[in-house]
Amino acid sequence: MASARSVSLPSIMNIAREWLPPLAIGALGIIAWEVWVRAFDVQRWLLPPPSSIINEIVDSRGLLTEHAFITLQEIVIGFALAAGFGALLASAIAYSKILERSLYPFVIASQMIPIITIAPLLLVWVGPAMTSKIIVVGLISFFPIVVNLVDGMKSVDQDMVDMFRTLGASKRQIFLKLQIPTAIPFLMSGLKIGVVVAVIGAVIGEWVGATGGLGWLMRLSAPQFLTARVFAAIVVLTVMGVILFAIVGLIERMVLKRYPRMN
Amino acid sequence: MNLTLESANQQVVVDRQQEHLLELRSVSKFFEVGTRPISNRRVLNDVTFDLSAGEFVSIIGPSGCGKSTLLNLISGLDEAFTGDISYSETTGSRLGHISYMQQKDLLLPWRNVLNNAALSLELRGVSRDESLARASTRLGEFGLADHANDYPAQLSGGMRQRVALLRATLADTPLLLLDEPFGALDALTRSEMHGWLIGLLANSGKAVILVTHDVDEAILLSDRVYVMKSDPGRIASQFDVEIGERTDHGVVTSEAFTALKATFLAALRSDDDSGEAK
Repeated sequence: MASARSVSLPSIMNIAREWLPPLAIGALGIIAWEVWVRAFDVQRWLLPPPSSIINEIVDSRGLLTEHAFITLQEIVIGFALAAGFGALLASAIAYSKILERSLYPFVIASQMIPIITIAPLLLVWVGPAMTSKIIVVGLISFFPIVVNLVDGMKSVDQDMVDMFRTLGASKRQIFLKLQIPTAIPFLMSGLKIGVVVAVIGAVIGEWVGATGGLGWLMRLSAPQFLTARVFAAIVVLTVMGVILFAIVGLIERMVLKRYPRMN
Repeated sequence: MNLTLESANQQVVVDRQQEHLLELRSVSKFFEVGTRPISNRRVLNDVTFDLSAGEFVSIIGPSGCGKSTLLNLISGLDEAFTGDISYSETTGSRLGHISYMQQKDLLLPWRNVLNNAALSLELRGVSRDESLARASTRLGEFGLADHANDYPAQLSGGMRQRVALLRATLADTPLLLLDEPFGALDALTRSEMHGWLIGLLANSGKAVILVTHDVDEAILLSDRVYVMKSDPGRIASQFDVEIGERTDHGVVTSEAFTALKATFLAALRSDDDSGEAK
């Protein structure tokens, strides 16, 4: 009994200590926003108060859900492709000096091309359907994954490599049993950054041209002065992004349980 | 036909009798800039010695005398040297045929004790299940029976070194290289590890080359001690160690022990290459 209390009480306190400040700041901001709009009688189409954004979310929940699902699909598929291709490319770069020298410059150069100029071209090439958005998401989230993974695979301690060699390890064994496990924490960081930019990528892709999705909904609602709907879409998108980030964070914590030294 | 076979067999027998486990002949190593050796700067100069199966040999000397370089050459990690190293187990690369344990335990932080120990078997192509099974039967001997599922970060320094030594031992090579394996441990733990190592090696038939700064450690553990000097790194003198029963706790204060210690300290300090210089 006593031990149960001594464990659970501090953990509740810790959760409260962690979550109360941001919740308080958020609530204060929303109240100030509401008061400001009402006190100065700001036009609703210019800046809707939080209360009407919440109303909009409730009223258009069907519409928002439908388009959120489209955006989510683009993010998940594009991100999964980026993770898969990123892991393959990073492995090739880390495994072979020649591949590193021939591929890595292009990986870096690819990031210098503004995605906003590629997105309309993709639209022309593959059409306004979901594919072009998936490609944009993939292109934008693949870079942090590759760079982090390559850094991780190359951060292997030379003494560890020598230890493997004295045990008769082949290059392949060193790669599989030393370089890849060493790179896992780096991969997790790359995935966290990747999932955040994936959300941005989906919206950019939809903004340029689409047949559905939250970005498309915002693009369509703004000129009609449905500002509350734009904000409602932003709220849904933000919540979705935070949840995706939290999922990757959760996976990271599960995976890194086996890396006590790095935690 | 029969005749040639017979004589060939006899030849093999004769070879085995004559050959040492390890022979070093005039091994020298030069400083390198990039991959080009600089011929007037020697890291190691003309190192020659033999090691028979089951022998325990120590190399003591000041920092920078090339002790670790010598182990890197023997292990096969570094192949840039002149002279000849021959190892009776293989004529090819010695990598994978000589166990090498360094001062750093080099345990993989994401593997628990059992999986770390089993690594050496895994790398030899033994299946994962079989590796784990064989490693787990040896845990008790190394005082790790209760720690199979612990991760390196949870272990004390002495335990980590024992895991590293278990990993090296499981590779089951006839020669074990130890590069200051107990250097990072406190005096008490180190002394415990000495007693334990003597027991472990007693009937194993394994040959050991131990590199150390610690004169007591060298005398306590070895059959023979080589004293190295620096600039250039070379073997200055060698001594056979006869101190009686090593597991007796009184041994380190015995007369034979202290006399040897005085000799070594003198040999380490002296500027000329006296003793049985090679």
